[in-house]
Amino acid sequence: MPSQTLVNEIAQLALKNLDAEGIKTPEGKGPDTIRLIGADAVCDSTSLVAFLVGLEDQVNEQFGTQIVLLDDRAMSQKHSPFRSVASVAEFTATLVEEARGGAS
Amino acid sequence: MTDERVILVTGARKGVGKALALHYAREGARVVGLSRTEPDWTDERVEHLLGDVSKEDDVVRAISHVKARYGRLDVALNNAGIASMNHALLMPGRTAQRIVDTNFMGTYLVCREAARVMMRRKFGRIVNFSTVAVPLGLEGELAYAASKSAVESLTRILAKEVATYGITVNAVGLTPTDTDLIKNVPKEKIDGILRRLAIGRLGTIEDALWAVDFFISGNSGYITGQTLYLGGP
Repeated sequence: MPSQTLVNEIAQLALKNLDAEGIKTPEGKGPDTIRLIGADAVCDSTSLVAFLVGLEDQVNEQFGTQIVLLDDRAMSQKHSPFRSVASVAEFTATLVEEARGGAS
Repeated sequence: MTDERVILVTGARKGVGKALALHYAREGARVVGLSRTEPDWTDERVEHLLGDVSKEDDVVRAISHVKARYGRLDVALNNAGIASMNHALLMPGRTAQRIVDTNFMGTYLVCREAARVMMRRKFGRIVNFSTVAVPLGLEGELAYAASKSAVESLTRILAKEVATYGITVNAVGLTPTDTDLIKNVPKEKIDGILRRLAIGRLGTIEDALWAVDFFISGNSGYITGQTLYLGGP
């Protein structure tokens, strides 16, 4: 499990990245309720790709890692890790911790 | 970020790739060549990187370098390719795999990584390389033609997937050109191919350059997903 501090840090990066991509998020909603896919999603398929590519770049730059968000594990999970800002932050944090050698 | 146009050329060590690299360097672009081995030539506007396009880590590393050093990538020319003529029933599996890995996977990996950089600036031109062996269905070139056929599918589909980011993706279908790629092909085989073209001569490097120039022109933003065959197959 990644630390909550890291998850929060990545969630903030994700929110900034949504803003940078011009993706409007509902005011007053937290990372766990901002949906990226499915009903009430803030992204369409095009902006979701731009968001994920941008987030991956920023995370790799900030943490000195070479993570790939769209790996086989992401594709094979029962619940997509990209369903909300919170879930993408938790999944990304897990990959960052593993890349740093902190995998359990 | 540099103000100059940045162009990536794979397989820049020799042949068409070398000509493309030098051509765009002369036109004032910053050119990054990506080849498996060090070329025997240099140019002050061309930076050579070593890497195998069929290896994901090599491609990711090369494009990351381009992004870090130049801050942009305007054009990617997926020239790297290999061929091997063989009857289908005599083709070693490893040879066929190597051809698919370099020609298709190499093109795919470079496209993917290049487009990720290009999309940040909402502009990019990707040119892939196919062959008249695809429409001609040349016997003896099964793995080569099949790998390039896959490149053409990739070109059409990727064009749709990245159009929204201002990136065009096209392909040039080369005829036999006087480069190392055909040095081991018997003359009568080459003559047989040329007889099936509307213009029955070997292609030149200038023919390829002109087609690439057309696709990467700033005026070609509405042209995407196309394969332009030289010679009239």
